[in-house]
Amino acid sequence: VHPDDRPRAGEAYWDGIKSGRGFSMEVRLRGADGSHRWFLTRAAPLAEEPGGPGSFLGIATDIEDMKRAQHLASEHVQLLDQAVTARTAELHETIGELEALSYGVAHDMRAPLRAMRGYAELILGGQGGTLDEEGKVYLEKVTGSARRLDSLIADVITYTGILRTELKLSPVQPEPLVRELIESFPELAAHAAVFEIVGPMPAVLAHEASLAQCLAHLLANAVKFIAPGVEPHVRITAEEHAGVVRIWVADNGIGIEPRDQQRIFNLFERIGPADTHPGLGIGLAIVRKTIERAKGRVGVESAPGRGSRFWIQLPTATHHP
Amino acid sequence: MNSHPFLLVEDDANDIFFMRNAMKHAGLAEQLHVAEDGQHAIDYLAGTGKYQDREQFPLPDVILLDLKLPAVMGMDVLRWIRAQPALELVIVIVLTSSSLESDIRTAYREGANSFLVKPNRPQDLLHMVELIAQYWLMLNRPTADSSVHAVEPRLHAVG
Repeated sequence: VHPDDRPRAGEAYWDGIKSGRGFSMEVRLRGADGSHRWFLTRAAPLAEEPGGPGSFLGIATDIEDMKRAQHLASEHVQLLDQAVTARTAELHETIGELEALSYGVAHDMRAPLRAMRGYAELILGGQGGTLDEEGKVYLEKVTGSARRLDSLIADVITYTGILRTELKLSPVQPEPLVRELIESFPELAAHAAVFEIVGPMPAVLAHEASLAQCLAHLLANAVKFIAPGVEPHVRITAEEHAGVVRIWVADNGIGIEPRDQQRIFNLFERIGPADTHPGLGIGLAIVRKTIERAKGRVGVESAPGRGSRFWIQLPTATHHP
Repeated sequence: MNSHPFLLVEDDANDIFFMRNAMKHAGLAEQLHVAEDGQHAIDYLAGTGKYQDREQFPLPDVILLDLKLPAVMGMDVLRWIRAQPALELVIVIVLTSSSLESDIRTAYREGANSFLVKPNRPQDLLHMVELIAQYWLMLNRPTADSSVHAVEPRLHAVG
């Protein structure tokens, strides 16, 4: 028996013999060539006799190959663990760098844009010489484009911000939130729309500020994509079912083709030409990402010419005290 | 006649132009001094190098400080200012394009009096400059030993 295994083996051996129960243990035995190999050695009592058994059946099985395979396997598992840990750390580092890069790029792009808009507005305001009507129109197009790019960059910053920040969830009452949004957003009032809020709405588990942002976005879309001459009518309802609340924002707008209904939630997707669809293709992606980060879902039911019904689904607040 | 010098710490030539333009329209063109980076700001305030002449480069009542500066960052300039006994009470307004929560917190913690985000439009910048003059030079009551000594009646015409 290998010197290191002797104390343990001796104890198990005498224990097994004295008690009459036999033993089963793994020890290293030395072969004729002087090398050690692992054996499973077992002793079983042959017959029940008063005062303990007189004899045992002893078996020694060579398990060296099995032991080696086991050892190899556990080494592999360990290596795999280390590789996964290292890769995960690398990935986190890369994500962190990409986030910092996108924030930095977006941020630095805004400074020259702000300058372009600034100079153009000074000229339009009469500083730096006069322009004829055509020149003014062109310059207004320059500022309009700069403004669009600026709000796109602002949206990208918002989007990366959603990815970076931890959203703390707490119970939120959707109904007062919707009322407040409609009262406080001049953008919504400017469209002379009719808002119908059907209460009471069940409380949801959400991050209040970001839910407000999402609802504001859906409400703004609801009044924005409307056929000419039609008064926007927006109906906001909520229903609870199996631990989740669905908040609906239904409009009488132009509607969305079935093939576009999933695309509109992706980054940089837009449907329709830019002049009739002034969105920038990122707002609904922000809504989706925000709600998903709050363990919710978003969706839409719509048909061209029949309006759209957007929904936000979030856990019911009472189910998560 | 009292003067209320402003020191703008800004490296972006466009932003310097727009600030000069706004100051001009607010009737404060004479009061604006500019340091193009953090080191120049420190040299100006310490009165070293080319800034020795206090007639030409007076100590400011209000410092408008950008955060994104080459070499010495805005936040380090702010820390340096607050570490100088002669400048610990000077009004420092952070004026930056960042609205990162961490920057806002750090700026206030390091002793900024106010944190403003650069407006996009020249009219908005003019409005901001007028509000700064009205609030910090007229409405706000400074300590007797801070660099802002007296309210100048002429400023009532501003805005």
